Amino acid sequence: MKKILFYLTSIIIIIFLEILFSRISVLGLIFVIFIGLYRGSASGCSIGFIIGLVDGIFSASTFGIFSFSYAVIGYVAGRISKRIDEENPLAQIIIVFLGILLNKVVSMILEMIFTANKGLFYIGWTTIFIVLTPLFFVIFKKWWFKWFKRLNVER
Amino acid sequence: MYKKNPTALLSFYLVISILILSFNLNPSIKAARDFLFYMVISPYSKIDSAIFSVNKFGNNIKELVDAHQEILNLKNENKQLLTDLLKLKMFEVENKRLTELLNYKRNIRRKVSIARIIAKPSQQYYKTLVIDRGSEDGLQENKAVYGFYKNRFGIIGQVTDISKNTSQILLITNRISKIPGRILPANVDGIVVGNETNELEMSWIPNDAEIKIGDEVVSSSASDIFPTGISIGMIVSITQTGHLPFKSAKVRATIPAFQLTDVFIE
Repeated sequence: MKKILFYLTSIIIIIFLEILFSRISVLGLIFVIFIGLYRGSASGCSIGFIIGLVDGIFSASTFGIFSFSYAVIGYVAGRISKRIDEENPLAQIIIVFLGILLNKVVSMILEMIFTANKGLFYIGWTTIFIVLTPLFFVIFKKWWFKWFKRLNVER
Repeated sequence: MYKKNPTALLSFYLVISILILSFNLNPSIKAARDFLFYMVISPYSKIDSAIFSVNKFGNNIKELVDAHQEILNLKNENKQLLTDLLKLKMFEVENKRLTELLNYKRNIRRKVSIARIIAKPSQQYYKTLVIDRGSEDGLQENKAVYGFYKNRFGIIGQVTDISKNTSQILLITNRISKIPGRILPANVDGIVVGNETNELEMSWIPNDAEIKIGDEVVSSSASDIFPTGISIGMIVSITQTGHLPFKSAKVRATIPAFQLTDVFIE
């Protein structure tokens, strides 16, 4: 129950921040990767699916695309956590960057398949915020420890 | 079960996502999107509006202060411009007067120089003037001094005391001034004496002389200082004395010396 409340609160805060500050629209994706890395594939893809759904409501893209891509990214983040050191800030930045790339590619392909629109591969300058990924990770960790005693890494 | 098999969980989410995509739920979620946007944006927009109002208020105060400062600057500038305008008008009047003087000087046949009046002693109002020419300018005593006023040229006095750079003019309105005058057209001579007003006293006019009010009085040939025929004034009244063979007349001076700023010197 506590976990559901934590995720619900986190998602509301993240979505609220994304709406108010459109320049940090990657915050949701960073949170999905954070959960994937520290809580494993199952949690990663579940949170990715939910945040993707909510993001889909607020974004201009076709509803369902983000839920698909975020779920994939959360799952992949959970998988690769076994192979990398997730505490390394550089690794965090690279993973988030790759996550954004994967999101763009998957979104483009799905747009082409389901809406017959030519997808546009475009990474906005706002993605420069990925350099702040280590800072966001620290904040997410502190937020986690406000709720729970330890951050279980399921390996 | 799902935690042990995340791939299955992912597959489940992907299937749901594909189903959502297949059914194209975009039009259906539009209402939900609008509602959620309203819920999120509404308080934010109110805060934003409040911040904007405070900011606008601050800007208004700043603009008010700036405008006040600008008004002060403009007022100062206006004062300066008015002063400059006044100066320009003074220069214009001075220029016009000097031009008239120069034109007149060209037209008169006498060799005269122009001097500026630098002092009109208050106690000596109808007695003396001080001009800015002295011995260094080649000025000599007992030279005739003329004035030009409203296109009229006339005698105003003579040079008395001379210093290095200034000189004193004894006015014809001074009580001690006595100059020979001639009434025209009767061609009758008399003595014009100062009265310390703008009206002179002309005495020693023969009783039988045919003079009348309005006749002109000019300098007489009997004078060593003043050339003949220069205007002194105009008769304004005549006084008969029955027991004497002479009569006297009041003469209004042609040139009011106290209104001059420059004089001609012979």
